[in-house]
Amino acid sequence: MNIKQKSGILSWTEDNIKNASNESGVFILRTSPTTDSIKFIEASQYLKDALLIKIKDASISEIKFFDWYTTHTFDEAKKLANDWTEKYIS
Amino acid sequence: MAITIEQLDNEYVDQNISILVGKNFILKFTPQKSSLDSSESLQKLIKTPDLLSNDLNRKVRGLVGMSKQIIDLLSESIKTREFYSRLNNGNPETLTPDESESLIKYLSNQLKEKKDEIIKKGNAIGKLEKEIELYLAQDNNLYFCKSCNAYLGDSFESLPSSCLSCGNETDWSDAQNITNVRFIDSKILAYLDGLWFEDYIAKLLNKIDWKTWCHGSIMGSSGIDHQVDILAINSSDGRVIICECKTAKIEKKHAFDLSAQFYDIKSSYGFLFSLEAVSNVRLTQYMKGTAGLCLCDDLKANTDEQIMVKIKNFLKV
Repeated sequence: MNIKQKSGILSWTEDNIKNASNESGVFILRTSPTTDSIKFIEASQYLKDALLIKIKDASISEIKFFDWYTTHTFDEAKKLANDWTEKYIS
Repeated sequence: MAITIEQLDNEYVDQNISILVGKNFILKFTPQKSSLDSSESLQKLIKTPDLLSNDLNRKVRGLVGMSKQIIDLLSESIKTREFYSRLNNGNPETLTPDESESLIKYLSNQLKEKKDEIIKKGNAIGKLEKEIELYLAQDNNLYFCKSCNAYLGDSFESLPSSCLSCGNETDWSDAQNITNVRFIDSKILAYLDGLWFEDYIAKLLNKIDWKTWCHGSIMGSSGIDHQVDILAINSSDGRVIICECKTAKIEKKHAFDLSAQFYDIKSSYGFLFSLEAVSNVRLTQYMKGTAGLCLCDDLKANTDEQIMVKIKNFLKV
């Protein structure tokens, strides 16, 4: 699985989202900057657009940090999201 | 026998569902997963005699407090790192180069202090665990930039290729660059923040011959699912108890929610257990004046025996 670019763990702010890539990839939402606090792992065709929608979602106000990963294709992103969901959330 | 208990688990993959059938009621109880099921240390903690009056409980609170502080410090480290990064990239422009340089130095010291504090607290957790012989925390590999000490993550997957604040490339294949810190993970922290008290009270109810189910939902006669902390039944006489257990301050809402559940589920008793004393006189009067509702508060220094006596007094016919 080739990850093209990684953001590292960032604070869940609009400013940080605006600097995100808008390519296909995976984003992770967390309540604290540790792996056991991961709440969502999602694949998206347009990372920045998806994150800008997410940050307006009042039902996930507990989210404090996020990170994103770009992939070559959306299919790769979906596979990566499935693998990480199994590893970190299930 | 007044009550028949049927376990339905063949059609449900994730949850076991118990159907409790008595003379005048049918209850469907859907339990939720609990950290207690998979942690021997938590089971050992809950089984501790006189847990509320035991020094062990105070020390476990210490482990919880230090673990939360470590998570807070990691969060602060990320915020400091982001500020550091903005300065390093020449932003904000209102600062002179000298001011910017001294601020970078200050933030760099802050990152180092936070890292040192995290390591110190992790060591203190390990020491305290050995002392009480109860291992609730886990060893965590944390990745800090070797150059500026910024926290970058706790899994290899999340690590960026270079430090997000100073741009340094740390060699993560060298184990010496990975910092091992011991702290309690968020699931066990959530359990120790409140759910433990439900399991502890259930243990006492078991001791006085009530069968219990914890952390689940019951469908009331209205068809609404109610989240209940404990469901207890007495097989010999068919009485049913639902319990709310609070480790933090009790508010009016808790008593009224319990009251609504108590009527909808049609249980024999609705117990409100609280570690803290309830100071709201109207609330205590409401609980005393409503048949079937029972308030057991100010339990924080009680022995098991004292709590069981309080419960038994309410259950006297």
